[in-house]
Amino acid sequence: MPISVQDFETGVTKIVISGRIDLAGCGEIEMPLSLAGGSKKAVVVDLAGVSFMASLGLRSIVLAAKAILRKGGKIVLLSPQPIVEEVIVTSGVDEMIPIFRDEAAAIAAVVPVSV
Amino acid sequence: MKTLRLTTALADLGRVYPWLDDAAAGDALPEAFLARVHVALEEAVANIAMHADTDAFTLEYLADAACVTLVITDEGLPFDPILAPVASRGEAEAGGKGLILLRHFCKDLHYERLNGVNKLAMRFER
Repeated sequence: MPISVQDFETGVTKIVISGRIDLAGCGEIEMPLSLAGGSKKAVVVDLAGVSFMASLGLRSIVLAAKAILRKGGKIVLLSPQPIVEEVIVTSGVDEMIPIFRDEAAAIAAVVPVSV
Repeated sequence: MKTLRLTTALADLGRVYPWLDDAAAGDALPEAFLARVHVALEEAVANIAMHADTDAFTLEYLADAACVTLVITDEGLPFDPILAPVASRGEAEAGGKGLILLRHFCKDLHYERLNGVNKLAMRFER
């Protein structure tokens, strides 16, 4: 499975995607991301292990992000490889889902504020 | 010239990448260059598979010292990916990114519709 979802006590969810997310592989991330979009509010999507992804794979992330943002949540992307980052930036998705290089900074950007 | 005829069945679509790698094997293309060709190829193939209302397409690979060219033909609905409108860059739509990526990753695109056949040539500068 090229995707894992881990919840932390801080309220942050880390989703790690890996491998080639292409025409053959994008279906495998679709449902886990859809479920995360429906249930999580502070999400870091770690893309460091993704060697390839085009618009189909990105679509699943965008759909999850829209669901999270609609309910006032936050989602960021972490450390995409150059070809994946070029896909993200060219399509403008980084304007909706910011890209971080540093994991601590990514977590800080989404972590729910304590009251 | 190397060609491949595929159906638009999901099981078949994943074959486009190893076919491209095999076709390009003798051309000493850098990995980063090939990755860009993979992105454009996926966008073109996905567009046909999802929107062209056809069940098959053909790929051709050509290379010379200056360029790699992929030609994709299908007998589906007419569609010009060069003239088709796309969402603006920042628009938060889930779809519509494929054409932006296709245009970005190719050096140039050439489309023609002839005798019921769509023919899209994607050129990549080496």
